Amino acid sequence: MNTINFGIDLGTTNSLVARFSNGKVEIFKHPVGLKDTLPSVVAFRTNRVLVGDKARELLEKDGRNVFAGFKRKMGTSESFFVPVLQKSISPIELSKMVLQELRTFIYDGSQPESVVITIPASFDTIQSNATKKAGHEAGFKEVVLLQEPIAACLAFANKHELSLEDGNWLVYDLGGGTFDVAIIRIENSELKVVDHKGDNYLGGLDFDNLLVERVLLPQIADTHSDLDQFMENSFRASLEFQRVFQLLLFKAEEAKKELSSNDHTEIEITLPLPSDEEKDVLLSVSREQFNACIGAKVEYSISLVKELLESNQLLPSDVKQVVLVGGSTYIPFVRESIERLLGISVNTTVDPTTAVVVGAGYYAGTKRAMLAPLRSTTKPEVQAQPFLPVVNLSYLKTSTEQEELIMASLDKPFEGFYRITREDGGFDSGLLPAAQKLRQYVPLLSGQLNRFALKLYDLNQNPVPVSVPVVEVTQGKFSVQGQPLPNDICLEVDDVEEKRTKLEVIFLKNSILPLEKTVYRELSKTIRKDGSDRLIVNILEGDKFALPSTNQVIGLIEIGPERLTQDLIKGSDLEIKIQISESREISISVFVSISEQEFKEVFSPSERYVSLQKLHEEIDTLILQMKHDVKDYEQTEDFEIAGKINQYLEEAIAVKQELDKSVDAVNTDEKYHLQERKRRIAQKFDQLDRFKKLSLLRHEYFEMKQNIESFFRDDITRNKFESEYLTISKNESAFLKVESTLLIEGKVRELRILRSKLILNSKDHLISLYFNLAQVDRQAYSDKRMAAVFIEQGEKALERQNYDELKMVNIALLNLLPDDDARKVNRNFMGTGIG
Amino acid sequence: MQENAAPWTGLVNQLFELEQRLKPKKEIIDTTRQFDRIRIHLEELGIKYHNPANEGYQETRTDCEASVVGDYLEGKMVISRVIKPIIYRVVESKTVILQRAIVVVESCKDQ
Repeated sequence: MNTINFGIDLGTTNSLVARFSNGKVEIFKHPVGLKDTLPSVVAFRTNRVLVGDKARELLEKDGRNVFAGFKRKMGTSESFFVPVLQKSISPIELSKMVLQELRTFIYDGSQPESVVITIPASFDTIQSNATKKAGHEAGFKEVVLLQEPIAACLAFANKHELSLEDGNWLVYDLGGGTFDVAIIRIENSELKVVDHKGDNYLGGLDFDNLLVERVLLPQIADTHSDLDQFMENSFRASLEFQRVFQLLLFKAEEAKKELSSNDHTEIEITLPLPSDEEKDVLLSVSREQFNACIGAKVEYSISLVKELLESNQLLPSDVKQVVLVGGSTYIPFVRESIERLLGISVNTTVDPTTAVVVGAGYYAGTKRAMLAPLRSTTKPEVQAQPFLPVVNLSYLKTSTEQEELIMASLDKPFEGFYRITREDGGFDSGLLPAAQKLRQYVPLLSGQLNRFALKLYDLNQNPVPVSVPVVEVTQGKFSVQGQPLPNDICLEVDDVEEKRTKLEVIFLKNSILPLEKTVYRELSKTIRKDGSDRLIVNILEGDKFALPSTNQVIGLIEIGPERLTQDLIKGSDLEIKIQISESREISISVFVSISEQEFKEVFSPSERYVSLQKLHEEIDTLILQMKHDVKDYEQTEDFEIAGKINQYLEEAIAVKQELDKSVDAVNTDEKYHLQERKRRIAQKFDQLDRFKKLSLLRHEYFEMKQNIESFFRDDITRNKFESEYLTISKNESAFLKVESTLLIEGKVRELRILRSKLILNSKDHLISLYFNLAQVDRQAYSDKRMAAVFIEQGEKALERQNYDELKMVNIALLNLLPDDDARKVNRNFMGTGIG
Repeated sequence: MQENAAPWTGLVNQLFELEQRLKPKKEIIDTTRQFDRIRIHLEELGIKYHNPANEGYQETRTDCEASVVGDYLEGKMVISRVIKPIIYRVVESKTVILQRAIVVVESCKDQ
């Protein structure tokens, strides 16, 4: 069956739109700010029409051109004169505009032709037909009306999947500005409004005002003698007071919400003193005080309920369900008062602010549409139609200004409107009268791409299917002087686990100068005031995937113990700010939070910077790496590459020997020379090694994965470790494509750790590892006596089949085995100190 | 963006209020560095916020919800007080407003 599916709550204060789909009702949110509601307010400005929040802002300031509450006038001959248009406008036209604005909430571009619109129980035939007419004028071909209290009952019944048994329900609707109550009779699953009553000037806004007037302002004057002006009439007439009053109203609304769940709340507010200074004031409001404020109003609403029941010869005990509608029914006092004064329990499980639209949605989901269905619910294809204009746009694609002009020309005369909106939702031109040439200044968000949509509307304000390309203006990114970076700029940081350093990109190649970035890191080691360790902030230029030692140092700050006011503890914060000017001058500022010291230096690109400590360490690491790789290549019989690396190794050893000899190189140019030689060797080695290494690493990665998956044949192991495994291998295709050995090495390392965990959790592996360790020559253990104790303990654990204990024994024995050469060197790793 | 934005907006609103309350006490306790850092971390998470205080106000500004104090003079209004900031969500270079600013506006004449 083709059902209507779309429901609209066309409210006096706010309106909402929802859709029934797959058994659920989805409420469409305002594209900006994601609110469910659209204020039912229309404002006419010079050459512009505003609907919703922007119109409501102007309501009190320009009441002659801004209209709200027009729903109450539906079906009357009353019309509103709009001075700015010099013509009158009917409530139907105003409602049409609200309905059209609600269409913009439907984010997926659906263009519903049939819709259910809710109306108050009090609407007579003429008022109902007027609502239908507004719906038709808004572009809906089929409009089905539904009374609001019935919609609320449907929301309630659907939420609880209740069967509609015969009886009376009461709908108590206390919104922002209006109050309505209705009796619904259910007979043979049919819902019918029996009677209703209401007050058009009672609601939550009154409660906010009462809270400000009766609690907050007296409290300000009573507890702060320097602020007693707040109760004086002369001050109350001032602009200053009006500003504060707006703020207090806002705070009162928040306090009201807070008091729905807490017995007590506090309001912090900054208030002006007569001396032009400001004072922070803390106000306190209890739920009791709030209840006392609103008590009379709530009791009045309940007296209307009683009158309604009496006039229909009903007792409260005849009411089976009380359905609450409207935001003000969130207030516990309202709920308690209904229960206390009427003796009826209320159900609070349905969101009272959206109950009507949700009910309308459910109804629409079951109501057959009389129109033929649209072929698709997505945007219809826009095709060039001879009677519609073609829009040609003209604008600057890049701009350093805060606003830009968008111009458009239409190839034929067009009568109607146009509207320009910015994609983020921060700009909406409203509806502007269209001419053949359109011109509109639009504000730009700084430093980013701004996208604008231009849409045309006919004289009835219905969208015209004209295809207009998106307007894209980039603000501030490209200035005339802007020049791109030729290489990546990186910070050297420690890879503590691998006992080496790695590069972290600060600015990517081709970023436009000037550039600025602040990075936050932690200290990777403790640097003592009386020790010899140093903190090294090394900024390098070159390939971000290369080894740090292959890149060019362009800025370096070395912070030795002599510059420290206290010990720098491992794990404490470092703030490193790097700026590069258009003339490529580099400024580095390092703030050490623990000692609150700041170190700043400016580096000129024509100078070179060398740290001897780092140079020693880099050359040692390079030699070690080369030796390791030579062994690997020889094992795989790749003698050609092994030979080349051996050649580089000899060169590196020569540099090391010269470096060791020139202990006093600090003050000579020799260190620059040695640094450059080291860099060249490292570059050659990196180039030769990287691609080979990448392919080996990729191979190792898949091998490791296969190995791990073999453990997953056991379901218990799989359940325990699979999520960790999937996290590591997530985005696999992306990271395997990147030509970074460090990145893939990191992944292999993570897999290796996981595999170790699996091994340590596997009974067979634990046993076999234990036997291997027990057979190791006792002389090899650093503590032979302890090794013997652990081996004996392992025997007993095996006998008892206590595998947790066996795991501990294995770990203890492994720790007693000596480090290999590589681990020895790693233990002496100094690094940069930046983790 | 149909997601639950409430935790983000709640967090940023508290942060903004804290920032505003500490601003006059900068001489005694300077927290600029800490707020800058929080701002950067939020940006890493795709959240940005902006204080539109003292900026011009036009009715086409849909990034603010304004309460007008005094006379409304079209084209001559300025944001005089910010109760909540504009909060943006940035995903893959696409910026969307999560929360409109709550502001008080008045005419330049009244200021």
